[in-house]
Amino acid sequence: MTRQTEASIEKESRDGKGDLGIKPPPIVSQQEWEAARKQLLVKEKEFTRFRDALAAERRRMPWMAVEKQYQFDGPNGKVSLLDLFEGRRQLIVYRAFFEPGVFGWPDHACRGCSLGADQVSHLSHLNARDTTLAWASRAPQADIARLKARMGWKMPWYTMTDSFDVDFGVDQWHGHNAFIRDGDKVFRTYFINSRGDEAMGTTWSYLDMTALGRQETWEDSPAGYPQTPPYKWWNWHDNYEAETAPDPLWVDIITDPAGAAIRRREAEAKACGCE
Amino acid sequence: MEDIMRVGLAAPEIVDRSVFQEQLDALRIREKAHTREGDAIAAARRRLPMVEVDPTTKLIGPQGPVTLLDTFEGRRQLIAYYFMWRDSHRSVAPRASRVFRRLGNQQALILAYRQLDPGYPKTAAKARTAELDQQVHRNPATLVTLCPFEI
Repeated sequence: MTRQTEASIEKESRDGKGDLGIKPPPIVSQQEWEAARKQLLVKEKEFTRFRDALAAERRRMPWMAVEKQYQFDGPNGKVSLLDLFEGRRQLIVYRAFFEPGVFGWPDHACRGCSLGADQVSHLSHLNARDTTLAWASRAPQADIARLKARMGWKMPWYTMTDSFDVDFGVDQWHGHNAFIRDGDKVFRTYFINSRGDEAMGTTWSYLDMTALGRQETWEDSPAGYPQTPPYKWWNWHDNYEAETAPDPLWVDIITDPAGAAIRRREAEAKACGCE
Repeated sequence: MEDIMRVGLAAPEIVDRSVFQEQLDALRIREKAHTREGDAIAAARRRLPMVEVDPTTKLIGPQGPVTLLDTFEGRRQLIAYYFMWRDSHRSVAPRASRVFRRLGNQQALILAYRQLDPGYPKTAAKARTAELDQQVHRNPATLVTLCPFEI
């Protein structure tokens, strides 16, 4: 905080605006606050449903066939766009600005992209929905490896070598492209950039931009799309590989919470002999 | 789960770049409206009234008991997330869960062990209440956490 700001806050303090340095809104009782919050919650819910509806529309977008053979540099040499899927069905590629000429080079990537990198969530959940996230920049692999180590970033990060950025609208500005594959055929399914990028990073934001969505039963998706019940596929990030089928106890808890609690209490009572 | 992930699906219409871009641009109008709506809601949040919370509310941190005020770490604002992690594998009362859910809407995390419903499944609830009572008696700053799935 600058000295000037501190001084002006002090002045405002004296003007009866309190220590906040701003004119506080009405201070109300818990009940009144709860009422005001509930009123706003109507809009919050509308906003959530709006987002769900948008994701449903994204799932109904046509697909664009990707005909060109793109090539990237990866940690182990040359790879194709298909390789970036890592065998999964869907792929999201984020174009990050890390290259000569970008502020921060060669120590850092663009500040905005770096902030975005810090909010990439644990990718095991996205991977569990058969979807891979990859980042792509113009910087050579050696610089990318150094940057990842310095900043503690774990996502796969490739070097673009051709017109991928121009062809997918990310040559001048950052953006997320979503792809799906059918065997070896690759299709572009969606594109998010600009302020849309600031909301990216959570498992849900990534899945919501894909052609298949979260793949949960409540979703409004075209007929025949893969779907399983919500919660059921969730796991701890260190347990997806170990648990090949959902734990029956977990399934019991999410399908019949009340009954599961009773059954657990009964089992525990039986176990300790204190019935 | 692997199987369902691999089900074949009928691909939608496959289009060329220009048609794809047209559709993208059309949907972008709604995307932008959604972003603006989010901004408007955030603006409305900034105009909500405030409710005063007891700053001496006790919580347990890695170094021992702290107050709610301490958890600001000297900053002006605090966001408290109520993490649903049950304190034991024992039973909990539904009333308590409701109370916790209500408390979850406030900025403060508050001890609610006293709210355990005495009418809840007899022996189990009684034992649980007694246990919590003892726990809290030993250390008044005990924060009891309940998992909603245990309701």
